[in-house]
Amino acid sequence: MKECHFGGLSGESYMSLKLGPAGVPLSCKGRTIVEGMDDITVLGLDAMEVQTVRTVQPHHFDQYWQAGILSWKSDFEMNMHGPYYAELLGSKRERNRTLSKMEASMQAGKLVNARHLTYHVGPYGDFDPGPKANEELVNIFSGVVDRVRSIWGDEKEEEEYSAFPWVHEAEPSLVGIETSGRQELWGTVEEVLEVCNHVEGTVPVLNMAHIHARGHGRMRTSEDYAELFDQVRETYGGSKFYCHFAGVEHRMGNALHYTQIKKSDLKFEPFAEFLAEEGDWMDITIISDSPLLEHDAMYMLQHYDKARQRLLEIRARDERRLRLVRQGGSDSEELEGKEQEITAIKEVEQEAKQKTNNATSETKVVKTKIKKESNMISFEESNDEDDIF
Amino acid sequence: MVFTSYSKMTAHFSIANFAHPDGYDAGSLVTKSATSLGANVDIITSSPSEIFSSFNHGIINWKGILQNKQWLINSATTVLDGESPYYAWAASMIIGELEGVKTVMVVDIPKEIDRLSEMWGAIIDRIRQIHILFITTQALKSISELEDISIDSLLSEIRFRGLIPFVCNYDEDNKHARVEHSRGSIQVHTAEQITYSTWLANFLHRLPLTSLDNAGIEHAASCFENF
Repeated sequence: MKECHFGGLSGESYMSLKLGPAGVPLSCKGRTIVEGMDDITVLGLDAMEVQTVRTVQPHHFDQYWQAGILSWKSDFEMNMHGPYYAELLGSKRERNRTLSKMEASMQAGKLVNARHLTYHVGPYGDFDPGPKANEELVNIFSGVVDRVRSIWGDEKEEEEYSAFPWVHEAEPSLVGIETSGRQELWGTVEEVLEVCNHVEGTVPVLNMAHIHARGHGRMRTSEDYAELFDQVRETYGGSKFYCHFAGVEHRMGNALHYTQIKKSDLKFEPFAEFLAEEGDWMDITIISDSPLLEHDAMYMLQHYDKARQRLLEIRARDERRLRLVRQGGSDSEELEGKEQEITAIKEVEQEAKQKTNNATSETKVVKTKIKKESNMISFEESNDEDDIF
Repeated sequence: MVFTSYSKMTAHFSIANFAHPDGYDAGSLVTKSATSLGANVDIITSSPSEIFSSFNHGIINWKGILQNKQWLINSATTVLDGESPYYAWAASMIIGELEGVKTVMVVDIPKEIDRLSEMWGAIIDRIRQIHILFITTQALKSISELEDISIDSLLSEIRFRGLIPFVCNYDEDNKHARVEHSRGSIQVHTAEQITYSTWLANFLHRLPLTSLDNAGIEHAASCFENF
């Protein structure tokens, strides 16, 4: 876990940031989850979201246990994504079909020691956007949370699962409800927060690409991220966040296609800047679900490190200034006055320099003219810019 | 590794195809049709002295091959051909994404039909790297059963959930093409009966020359003056 200290002078407050890909890394030579976890660790990342987007294959269960053990023994955060084809607001048949797929991912989530289980809701179906759809989902997700807890905390199974201690010792997975990237799908930030607020054990999954697309490209500056997280903090509370990040092509408030981050108008730099400057209270996991899974996760890590480095430099400079103030026995107002004086002097000096430069260039022009006119060999240094030597 | 290059005419129509050496996988058929249309084609496969399932995929210089290519054509069945083809198939799509090449995935049913689920699972894993997903009529039926989604809505559901720019099918018997795309959906009937590979090759040939709205895509899907 990266514990990044941002307390400035005191160094007391810190943030926890975990980064990882949505699935086994593309560059992984093996195909199993455990091999994927090894590769992620080697890359300096520390989280993964297992994709069970179509179905959970029974023959995967062995590797799920192994992944769970590895995750329990290390500080590696495992998470799980539920089915793509979710229709929780659809007909009874559609909802039951979605729930049965979700059940499989809940079971698998227990095996891998998943900290979050991420689910889509799907289209509005017969519901209009608003309180009725949200109420329906509150009921559904209350049931899902109960089911997750019953899967995890069965005392009768304690002996059976003695080799897998997290089943009894760890908290059950949190049920994540993901924001959607299209107008016809349930899942604005407000809707997700509303439902999460009413169901204990759920957590909003902030898919930045979706939020950006649905908001017609709203995530542009670090201020936009500050606003978003303030909204989440005020409505939902807490300091734990689970996010997805990828590049996205969007049009008319709808996500069209996921792209690598570099090719999108959704940039990671402002998010990194926000995390470095204002994220000291946060415990955040960011999953890269771009087409370049781990490559873009690394890209995010690099940008975060850069933003943190910049901030540390600024803080170190400020700290030095304060120390100088204390040493000199002057207060900050005096220092400010002195700094203003220095700036004024510098400005005057610069003006003077400019004037001298102008004067020299004028003389040079005159000299060249004289040379041309005299047509004599000169040994003076040439100022020919084309002369590469 | 064998690297075969065909270059005829149109500079705007260039293809890299990772193919089975027998040349009968769905992607190879599309590439053959594209070659006859004058595409600049590079075919990458194992050398005759190698076994495809375990060929030396590490020596393929995907970056060099995919530079300045427009389309990368892969077959879904390749993932079932062994570890080496799977790695090469996966690597081609990653480098393709980095190089800005659009990946075309041609989905046909595998010889061992009970491995359809495995093949489709691998496609879903990589769905975000695919720009055009073509599903043959036979595969459409099988995947529809597998996913428990009606054939009529399967293409749009896949596009909708996977956010793939184009999901399409050409029904050879009914001369009927369907394209679900980011800005809508089109259906066209072709005047002549042609194979799906011919239709897709022609679509790839026309697509870069049209606008990406319904009218442009309809034009790309139905324009066959070259045949």
